[in-house]
Amino acid sequence: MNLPLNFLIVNMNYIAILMWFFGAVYIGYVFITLYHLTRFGVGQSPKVFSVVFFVGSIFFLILLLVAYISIDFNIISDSINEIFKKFNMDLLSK
Amino acid sequence: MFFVETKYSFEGQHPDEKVILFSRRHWFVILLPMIAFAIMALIPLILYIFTESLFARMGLTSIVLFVFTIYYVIWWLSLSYKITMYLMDYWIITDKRVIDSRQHGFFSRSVATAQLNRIQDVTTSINGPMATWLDFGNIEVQTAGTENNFFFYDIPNPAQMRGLIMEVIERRKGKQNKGSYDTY
Repeated sequence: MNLPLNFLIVNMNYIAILMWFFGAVYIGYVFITLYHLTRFGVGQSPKVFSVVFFVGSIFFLILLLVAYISIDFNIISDSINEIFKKFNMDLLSK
Repeated sequence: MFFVETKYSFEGQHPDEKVILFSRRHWFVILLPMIAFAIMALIPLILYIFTESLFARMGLTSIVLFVFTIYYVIWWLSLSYKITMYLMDYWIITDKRVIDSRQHGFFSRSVATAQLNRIQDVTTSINGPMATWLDFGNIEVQTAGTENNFFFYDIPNPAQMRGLIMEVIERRKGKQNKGSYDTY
């Protein structure tokens, strides 16, 4: 009896999943840092730095998203194929 | 209490407790890592300038910029971690006790206190040419009995601070509580 196992072969966007994972880790890390600075920081400096860090973190997150959106994955796969062809390793073209 | 009430209020402060001195490590301690971070920030820029045309020919400019952005995000988080750890290490002298608060990493923090009447002696040590030039060093607060001694590391003006601690202890011992302490 042939089981319909082809549902396991899902064409998943692994880079997008990786980006989501990275984003979640990033937001978690930013939250932990801000929590430490505001909860345990004594004096003015930790509070000032927490504001700077918060603004900088948002800036870098936007920068990362813009850089991710601007990637053309088709051009990249073509370029990688060309590189492999140059070295007679057309593994990806098969 | 999320944001502290006054400039040097801290968690666990008694209602009638007054902060006399608050100190962090000397700025020189954080200067060298900051220089290293500044150099690390320049590396991708220099790489990009020299390899821009090569990547453009291969059509990989966007992915290279994306990789550099990830690098800068990691750089930013590492830099902030270093600064956070610097800011979380501090020593407080109140009119009742000495507090040594040290952050060893996220979720790893140690706070030790010693009552002023348990302090027996305070010694300072300045080691190295930079420490001598910039006037920072370590302070050892020796406590009575089986309590562990306190170490204040890389404190600015250690001799001045030692004098202040001794003055506070003497005032405490002599019960000269008529005058108010100055906050530094």
